[in-house]
Amino acid sequence: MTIKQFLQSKIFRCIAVLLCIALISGGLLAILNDLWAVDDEILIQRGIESVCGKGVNLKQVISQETIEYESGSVQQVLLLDTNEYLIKALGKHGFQEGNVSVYVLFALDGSKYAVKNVAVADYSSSQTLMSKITDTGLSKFVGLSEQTNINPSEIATGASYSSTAIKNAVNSAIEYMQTINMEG
Amino acid sequence: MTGSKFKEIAKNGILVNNPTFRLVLGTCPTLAISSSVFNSLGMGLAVTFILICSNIIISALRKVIPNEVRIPAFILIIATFVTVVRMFLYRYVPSLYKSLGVFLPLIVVNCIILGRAESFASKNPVLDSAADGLFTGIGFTLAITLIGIVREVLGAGAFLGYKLWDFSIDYFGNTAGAFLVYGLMIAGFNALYEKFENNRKRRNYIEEMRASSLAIEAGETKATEKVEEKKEA
Repeated sequence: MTIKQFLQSKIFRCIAVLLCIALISGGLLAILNDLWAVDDEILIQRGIESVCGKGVNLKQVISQETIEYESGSVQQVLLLDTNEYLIKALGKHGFQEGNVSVYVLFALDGSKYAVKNVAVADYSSSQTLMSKITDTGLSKFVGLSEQTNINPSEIATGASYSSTAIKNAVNSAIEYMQTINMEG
Repeated sequence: MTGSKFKEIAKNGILVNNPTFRLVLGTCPTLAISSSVFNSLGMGLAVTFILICSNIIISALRKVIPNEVRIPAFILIIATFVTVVRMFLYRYVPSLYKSLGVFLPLIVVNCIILGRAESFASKNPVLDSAADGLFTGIGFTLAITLIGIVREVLGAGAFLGYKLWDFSIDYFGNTAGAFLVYGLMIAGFNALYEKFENNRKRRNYIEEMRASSLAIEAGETKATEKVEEKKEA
């Protein structure tokens, strides 16, 4: 087959049409991706709203680096304008070794910072029973200033692996806050 | 597009070929997402938007796309609009984005969208295809929202997130409950549809019979008049 024959063939037409559609689609998506990009600032504000509701703003970003602990890690530490700490922590050992990220809000309780609220931020796709995690289950962590060994079934029945990952995440956040509590 | 054709497309999309209750298409998102009205409406509107846009583009390109690569081309076009919807929801409605989860990108392989592209948009003009996308989308949205209302009221004792009463039956929140509600609704919808269709056929038959008997009567009168005229002559 000569080049001229190839250019006049149906095969060339098929490839050209598919390439044109792919290029135009790609261009459109690139423009929209730029227009509707969700930056860190929006993500932080969403995290704050999920735990504190509307009207609370960020005062200072304390840390954006991942700090590893035994069964989880702290990914982000924020100080809010209410002088409360918001920590995004990741818990390991979920279902099929997946992870669950949570936002943990710490407020000053006497002389120590204790958990005021917990909300799920994100989870790996293997955590198929996350719908069983309710606010009632997450409220079991409220008031804690030291690491807990709570039974996962108390957080949610039928989702013990995901509950374990949540517990690990909250424990990692508490471990981080203990350093701040010790610094006074 | 004439008014009668527009009416026919609307009737086909919402009733005669309702994708959920009559054609039983898009079952996977229907069962998985319809646990609440908010999710059902969100999924319905997303599918409607993608149906309209993909139908318009596929119809506009129907003479350009070679027959051999039509399915990959349709999937490329549909995937583009699904990605647009995903980006929009992630930016502006994150709660719905989170609720729809994996079923949002799976709209790419939704049988309703691919089915309409293949059977209608690739053979009809742009305006007709847009109308078909709109009404098929409305049909799907109405169906999935109806299932969502029943499941949320019975399964959570709530409507649109507002608690109605403390009584709830967890079964309707599960997939098994979704199957039951879906099956009963298909049965109910088809029973009503058949009833209306039979009534319409009966009315048409009676009208036809009346018209033919009138025609026979008119013919008989003419014949007697002619006989009398002949007698007089």
